[in-house]
Parts: sequence; C-alpha cells; structure tokens
Amino acid sequence: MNAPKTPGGARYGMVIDLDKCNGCGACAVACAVENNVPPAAERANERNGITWLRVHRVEAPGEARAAFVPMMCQQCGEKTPCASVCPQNAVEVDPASGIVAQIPVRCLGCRYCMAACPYHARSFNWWDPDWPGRLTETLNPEVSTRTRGVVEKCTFCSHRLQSAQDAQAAAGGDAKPPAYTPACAEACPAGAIVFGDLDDPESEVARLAHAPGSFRLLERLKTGAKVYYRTERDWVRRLADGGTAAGDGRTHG
Amino acid sequence: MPITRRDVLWGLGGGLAGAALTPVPWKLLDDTAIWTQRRHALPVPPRGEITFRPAACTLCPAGCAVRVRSVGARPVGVTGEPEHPFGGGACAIGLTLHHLAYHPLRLTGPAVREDGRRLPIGPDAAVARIAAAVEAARKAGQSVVVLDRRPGRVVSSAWQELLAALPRGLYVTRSGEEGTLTVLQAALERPSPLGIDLERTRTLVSFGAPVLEGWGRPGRMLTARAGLRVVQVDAWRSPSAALADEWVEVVPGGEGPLALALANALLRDNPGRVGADVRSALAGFSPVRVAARAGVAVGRIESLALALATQAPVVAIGGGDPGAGPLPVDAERAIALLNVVLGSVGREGGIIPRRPLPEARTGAVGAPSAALEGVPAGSVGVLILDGADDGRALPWPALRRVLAKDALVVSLSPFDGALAAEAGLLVPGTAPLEAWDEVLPTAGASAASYAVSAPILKTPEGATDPVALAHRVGAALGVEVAGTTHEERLRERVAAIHAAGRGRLLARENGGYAEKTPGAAAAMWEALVAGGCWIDEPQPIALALPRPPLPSSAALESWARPAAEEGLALVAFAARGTAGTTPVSPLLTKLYQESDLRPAATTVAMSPRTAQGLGLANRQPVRVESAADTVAAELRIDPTLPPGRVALAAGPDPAALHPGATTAARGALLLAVAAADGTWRGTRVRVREA
Repeated sequence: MNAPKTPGGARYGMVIDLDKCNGCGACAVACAVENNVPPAAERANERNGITWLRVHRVEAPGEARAAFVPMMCQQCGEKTPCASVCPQNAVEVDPASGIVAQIPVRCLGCRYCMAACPYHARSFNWWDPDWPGRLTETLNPEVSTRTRGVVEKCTFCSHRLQSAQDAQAAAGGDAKPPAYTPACAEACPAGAIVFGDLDDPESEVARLAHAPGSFRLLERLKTGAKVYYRTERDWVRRLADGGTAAGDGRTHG
Repeated sequence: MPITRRDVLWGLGGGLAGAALTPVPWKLLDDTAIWTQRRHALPVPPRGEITFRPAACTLCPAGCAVRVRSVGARPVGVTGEPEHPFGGGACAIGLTLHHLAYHPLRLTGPAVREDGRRLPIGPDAAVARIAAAVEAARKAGQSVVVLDRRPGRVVSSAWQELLAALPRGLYVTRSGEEGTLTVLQAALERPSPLGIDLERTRTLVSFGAPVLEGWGRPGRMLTARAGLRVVQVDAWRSPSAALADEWVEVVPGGEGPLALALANALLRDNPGRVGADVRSALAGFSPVRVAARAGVAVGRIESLALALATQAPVVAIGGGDPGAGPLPVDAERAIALLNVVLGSVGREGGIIPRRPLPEARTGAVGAPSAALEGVPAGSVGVLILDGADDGRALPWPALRRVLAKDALVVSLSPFDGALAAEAGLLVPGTAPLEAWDEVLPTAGASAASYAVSAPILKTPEGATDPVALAHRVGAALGVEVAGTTHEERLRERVAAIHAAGRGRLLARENGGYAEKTPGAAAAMWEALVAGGCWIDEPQPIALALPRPPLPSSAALESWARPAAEEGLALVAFAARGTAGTTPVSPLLTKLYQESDLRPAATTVAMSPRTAQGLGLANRQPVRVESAADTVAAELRIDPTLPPGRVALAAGPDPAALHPGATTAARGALLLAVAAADGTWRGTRVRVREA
C-alpha cells in the first residue's frame, strides 16, 4: 500500500500544452539522454522499445492541425494501478513528493505493472543495454543504468529532485519542497511543459492544471494522475478520454 | 508417542506455512531478482565535478545556443538556452550533440579507401596526396573544387584564399534554405543580403520549406508563430503541413506553376503592380489553366489568392525540404515573383535588406565561385568536401556528375558514411564541441548577427583543423594562406566586427543577457566566448528591384504542359540534420525506430488507394526502384498521403546506428536521379513486393 502524503510535502506534477507542442521529439530525446536510456536494440520497435516518454501524433478528419501528445508515466495518485500489483514493492509512491518511483533492482520482471498501467507508459528491458562506439562516456552518473529483465518508466527525473534537496540543505534553506525541472520540461523549445508543485496554489503548474481547457488522460478511471494536458481543441479532449475525435457521447470526469 | 508419517507431513506443511509468514521467502524472491540481473553488462559512469559551459550547436546553420553539462571532462548533457537573444531551445538532434565525438562512425585519423577498405595513412602523406592530385588536375586542365556547405565562415575564407592561388581553383556552394531570397537578391539594383521581417509578417506561405519543423532559426519561428498565419504548400502532409493553419496539397513539381497562378489571380485586381513583361509571362497561368498541373482546385487557388490579398503583409518562401533538396531555380523565381506581386519586397513585415557581416579580410582575393548546379559535368579533378554540414541531403549522383575520370574526392568530415563513403581520401576534421566554430546569420534573418563557440572537448590526435589543413596544403603547393589556426582567424573576425562600431553586444550576465559596450576587441572576444552574441542594427527597409525575376521561357513552356505521369512520384523528406554528412546519434532511434513519430529511411508510405492498386498491404516488406538504385523498405499505408506518391525519408536509417554498422544509409538519396539542374525532385519510382 502507498503511504498518504507527508505533511508539508509536495505533489509534483506537470501541465503539457498540446496547442504549443510541435512534435519535435526533443522531450523524448532529452529524457533518454538524462536517464541513461540506451539506444534501441536491433530488433526493437515501437511496441517493445524502451521509451520513458513517447510523442504520439493524432489527426482528425477535417481538422487542419494535427495534435502531438507527449505520453509518459502519468504519475497516478494514491490508487496507482502499477504499485498495487507489484509483488516486489518495486513501485512506490513517495509520500513526500508524490512521485511514483520505480526501483529496478527490486524488479522481478513479471510485468504485472505493464499490464495494469492504463496508459502503456512502462517499458520492459528485453535486451542488455548497449551504447555503441564510446557512447558510455556520455552517461549521466546521477542515474543508474538498468539490466535486461526489468521494467522502467518516467520518474519525473527524481534524481534532479534529490540534487535540488541536497543543494537546499547545503544552503541551509527551509523545509519547503524545492523547485526543480525534469529534463523534458527543460528541453521543450516550445515551452509546452510546465512542471512544479500542484499543491502550491501560487505555482504556475497549479494554476494551469485548474484552468479551463486542462484535463487528464482517461479521467474516468480516477487514477489521480499528476500529468495534465491543455488544449482549446475539443476533438483532442474527446480522444483523451478514450473516445473518438468525432465524439462518442462519453463525458469527462 | 510414535511419530507417524502424517505427523511428519503436518510438521513440514506447518513449517512451510509458517515460513511463508516470515520475511525469508520474500527475501529469497528479492535476492533472486537481484542475482538474475546481469550487472556485468552495466556500465557505471564515473562521478566528478559538474560544470556548465556555453556552446553552439553547429549541426545545421541555425547554430542554436546550448549549454553543455559536463561531469569531469565528459559532457553528459546538452540543453537549449531559452533566454538567448537568437531564440532559445534546441531540437532533438542538437540535444545529442555531445554524443557525436564518441559516435561509432567517428574516424580517428587520415585514411585512404582502397577496394572498399580504409587504410590508415599519416597526416603528411594525406597532404602530399592532395598536393599531388592538385598538380595532376592542373596538368589535365581540371578544376580543384572545395564544396562548402556552410559558406561565410572563416574556414570558407581560408579555402577561398587557397583556391584563388591555384590555376583552376573553384569555390563551390549549394542552394539552401534561402533560395527565394537569393533569387531576389540577384535582381536588386544594389545587391545585398535579404531577410524576412518575420515578427511583423501576418501570413507566411511556405512552398515545401519546413518552416514549423526546422527552418532558419527555429527559436525565432516559435516566437513569431503566435501572430503568424502559416500556409504550407506541400506534396505530402509534412510535419509543417500538420502544424500549419492551412495545408495546400500540390503535386510534386507543381510549386512553380501554383506560385504563378496565385500571382496571376492577384494581378487581376491590381495589374499595375508589375510591368507588361511580367503580365505577359503570367498570362498563360490563370488558376483554371494551372489547376490540373499543380493538383490544386481552381476554387482553392482563387480563395487562397483572395486570402493573401487581404492578409498582408505576406511572405512566400521556397527552399525546399532538407531531404528533397532545393527547388529548381525557376520555381524559386516564380515564388520570388509572387512576392513582388504581393508587394512584399522592401516593406514592413516583408522581405527586407540586412547588412553583410563584417569581414576580416576584405582585401583578400577570392577564388572564382559557383553554385554546385553550375559546375560543368566531368570538369573536376580534385573535390574537397569540407567537413561542415548544412544538415540537408546531397545525393552522390549530384556530385558524381561534376567529377572527371579518376578524380580524387577528399572528405574532411569527422565521420564515415554518407558522402565520405564515396571519398578516396579521408582527412577527418574535428567533431562538434572539439573545436572552435562560429554562428552566422541564418536564412531569413532580419539583421546580421554573430556568435562563437569555444571547444569543450580536447581535440583528439588524428583530427585535422580545416584552417590548418588549408594552410598545409597551401604550403605544399607554395601558396600562402594567412592565419594558421581557426582561433586566430576567428579573433581577426571579431576584431573586424568590433572595428565596424555598429550593432549591440549582448553578454551573459546573471543567467541572462545584458547589453555591453566593449572597450576593446579583446573584451568583445571574451564576451562572445562566454556565450554572448552580437546583433546588428536594423536597416532602412527600402529596396529597389528594377526588374522582377522571371522563370526561364523553357520552364514557362514546360509548366504550361501536363506533367509526365510515369510510375510513382518520389516524395523525399528529412528533418534538418538527419540527411546531411553528419550522422545522428544512435539515441535518435527513440524517435526513428521505437516510435512512429518520425518515419525512418526504412519505411515507405503510400495512400490506401495506391497500395490497393499495387496489391500491397500495410507493414509488408517492399522494394522501391528508381533508375538509380533499389532500396528495401517496409510499407506503411498513410491515409494522409495523396495517391500516386511514395514518401520515403532521406535519413536516418536506424539499422545504421546499431553496433557494428559501418555506414549511414541514405534511403531516398540512393534512389535520387539527378537532373541537369542538380535537383532530384523529379525522381519516379516503382514499388514491388519484396
């Protein structure tokens, strides 16, 4: 079971503006660089590759503009489906930050979590990681590399949170949750990703998350996701709830 | 009491049940998970001091400002500089800039290619070979050519000095993103570089240029996008078409006729805007006549013309997709003429002049120069391919055309593959972040600008600085090339900019940028090395265009006839930076292999109707054949693709990024059939079941 939120803790989340996203894929690549995700194995494809963040292009008949939807772990709330099925406690919701952590060394590779995740946001390591050439020289020492046989996913760059906490402690700062930025938000050239503490009413992310036009994917499942999306386009919002661009009568939660 | 078999079983069962309630089995399960992991396969990156250094991404001419995070001496991350005055952010390719020095295709020293194998040679032997080939070319009356894909750098001036001193030296560039502006520039009364006043433009009509994906300086486009209506004229639903406010689907090769039809429709209400000669040239290009040739309905052309007339200022640009290569010059002339008819040349929000960047060596005698398309076939005895990349595709047939028999091709790219795979002599230069570089104004820039990028990695032994190479080749031939190092020449240029006494120097200060007045050139240099930049003042926007550019009469005649319809039209495409001579990082497989966001050079797309007509199914292996070559690919049925066309990327090929790969594949580039004008947009293909 996941512990309730720590008093005074944060609930980190993000808002992605789909009207700003231009599908450049910088977020996906920045994520892979930052988190030591290896290049694709020779037989990998869009179904079995390791992608913590994937950008999907969606189109609708009669609509001039396509929409690009960056998809990563939606960082569900206390009823996190993946954590509830893990026999190894390899998935934990950090009560101090709300981040759904993945602990690869505990993972048995049963993939129950992948089956339970309604967002298909988890990847299984089918192959040992391989960085061709001398690319191991470019690995980030702040993130452990993972072996074959474990599941991995977006962690909201929790190592950056740890660094921010360390810096805050070293500076003798207060106990307020530190501000930090995950690699995807930092890399987005369009400024489409806003990250911060959803429980801080003065934060930009909290304001945007509750602004008209914001929604969560598959809201009706009530997973308490901490990733919000925004768009002024109704057809995109309809798709986000599992409907069709033309509408199928489903309503948002 | 005797112990029965039943008691033993009860005891065992109870013990097992009891053990299940202790942590032991869970610990065993946990340990099993850990033991079974193959830790020996995991690299453990060393820790060290974390530092941040400014740099510029020079994988394409945009030169986006980036910040490089290093651990110890190793760069481990690159991010865009959102506050940079040039416009912040970096693309997916730029974020892997630090991978390229360690790329599997990286060359470690000079080599000759014999029978397909690379044989290492020393740097002196490499210079001697170049000098000997230059002598042989001189005797045979052949040209010695340097192909520069990022002209305007100090390296470019070093090459020009060398070539100027050779009997048949020729400095060659190729058409890029600024095709339309180049045509207009040549027609000016007083030629000067041209830019686009994008911040005040209301409508941008792009004829195949990837304006919303990577054109000019992407940061600038992102900033300007909010107030800009974008009309994308494209043969397929490109990323820019998918992001534009309107996509006008045109048949491949229909860009020129469509531009003339729009001009024709616009002139109906305002015929006095151009002279009689232009009106006469446009007379045969009414929307009714052009509709079939361009593949755009009459009503659509009329309504688009009306919209352009009411949504001024409008700018129309060509330049072409980085994978499809440049538009034919006549198409660029047609687009330039549309700008003239729209009244966009020399007005606010339109096409405006900008001053050239100050040069350090204004007195230096330049070599004869030419565009690649203008180099006579079979005339080149030595072809030196400078290592700088414009990120745009250049198929080998377009180069092979100009080579004489037994010509020496020298590649200065730090990587093998792409055009280097065709070179007989490899003299690898430095990889990104290993050497000095500079950032020049991009296509459409409204003012001159300048920045330098200092090296972050040590230059490895075996990598040759191009300025030093020009100097050494010159010395071997008895020719003086001043300034022996790249840094020396860059300092001279910064001194020239400082001496010009104009523009603004924006230096990094407290995480942002502040305007500074440098007292001396050395102070300006320090500010630029620290991540600052220089931006010129805006110019008066008046432009005199005595004679608008007109397409050639041959093109006008050809466009008046129906297009040839043999086979399927090849629509080649690529994101800027993925189809040039520099390979992409293997990590780009995240986009090109493990995602369907970006089609790779191994997937070919066609419409459901075309596939049905050929009896082909989705994800079926196929062979794509042209007069030049055949490539194997997997078919993707794409309902957004118009019938009769085949879309295939010019790069990258994920298979070329895996361990053991020895070359970078080129997808559509292998199929390219180069026309006499150096373009390959007219390539027709057949698709068969593999």
